[in-house]
Amino acid sequence: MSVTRTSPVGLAGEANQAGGVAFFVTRIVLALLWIQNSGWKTPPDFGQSAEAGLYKFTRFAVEHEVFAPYAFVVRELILPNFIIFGWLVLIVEASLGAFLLLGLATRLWALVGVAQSLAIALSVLNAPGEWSWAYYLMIAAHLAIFAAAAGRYWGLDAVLRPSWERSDSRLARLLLKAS
Amino acid sequence: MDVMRRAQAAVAIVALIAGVVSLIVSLGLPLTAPRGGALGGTGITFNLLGAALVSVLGLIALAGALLRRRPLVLAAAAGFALIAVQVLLQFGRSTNLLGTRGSSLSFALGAAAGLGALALWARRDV
Repeated sequence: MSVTRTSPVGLAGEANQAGGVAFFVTRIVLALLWIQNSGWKTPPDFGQSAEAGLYKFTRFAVEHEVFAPYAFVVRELILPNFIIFGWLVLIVEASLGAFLLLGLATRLWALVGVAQSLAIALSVLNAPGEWSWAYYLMIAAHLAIFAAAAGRYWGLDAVLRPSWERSDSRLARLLLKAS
Repeated sequence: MDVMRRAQAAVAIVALIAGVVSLIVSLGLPLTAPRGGALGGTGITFNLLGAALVSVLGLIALAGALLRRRPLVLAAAAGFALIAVQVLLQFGRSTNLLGTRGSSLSFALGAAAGLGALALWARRDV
């Protein structure tokens, strides 16, 4: 009787390949999430005059408080300087979409994604109609692509890391850590 | 074709496809409509002028990758960087020459950073 077995090495190889595909797909989906959602952060006032858009969602942090210190920061620092905050959010979210799509400096941008997801969660978690698990999932997905260094799967990190490893420059060393 | 040029070609092809699809969905809009046609569910928008520009830049980048002409790839990267600047200056205003919004900023920034990084590090490797 013959027994067909897959070698442990083969299993590990298949598992790695499946994992690579999963991390690639997760990275692309997160990138598309940020790309699409940077579309409604509209300058010049980011919804302040109409009390809509980004302004409305930012105010939720005060109106439907999740975490008192964060609500204090929003009330005292962010809302009085809302236009600067709006530009910052637009640039950060557009950059998240761009760099996660490319898989360039992916681990750095995954951490930025965790921070941005956390900030959004602290603003809207208690607002009516919000599904809190969406924000927990966003944070978890960014942590997963950080841990997996997902840019090394069909991303520019995979292409550029050998060059950065050969280079002595400070930028290359930083990019190695960021990827 | 080495891995660096394959990656340049991949980014260029994605940009070219985005440009051509944007051209198709923007047909019927005025050349410089402030709100361009949407690229599927991505939120990325370009009007006819913007879509034509993205297509041309994608073609230039692809030619640079295939012909080993790094200056062409860098020129395309610079062009995408200028589109990103256009979004920052005109998104949400009545005059928006390329019909862009925040999602278009993300796309242009990605194309500029990707092509730029690949072209610059390819040079350092020589």
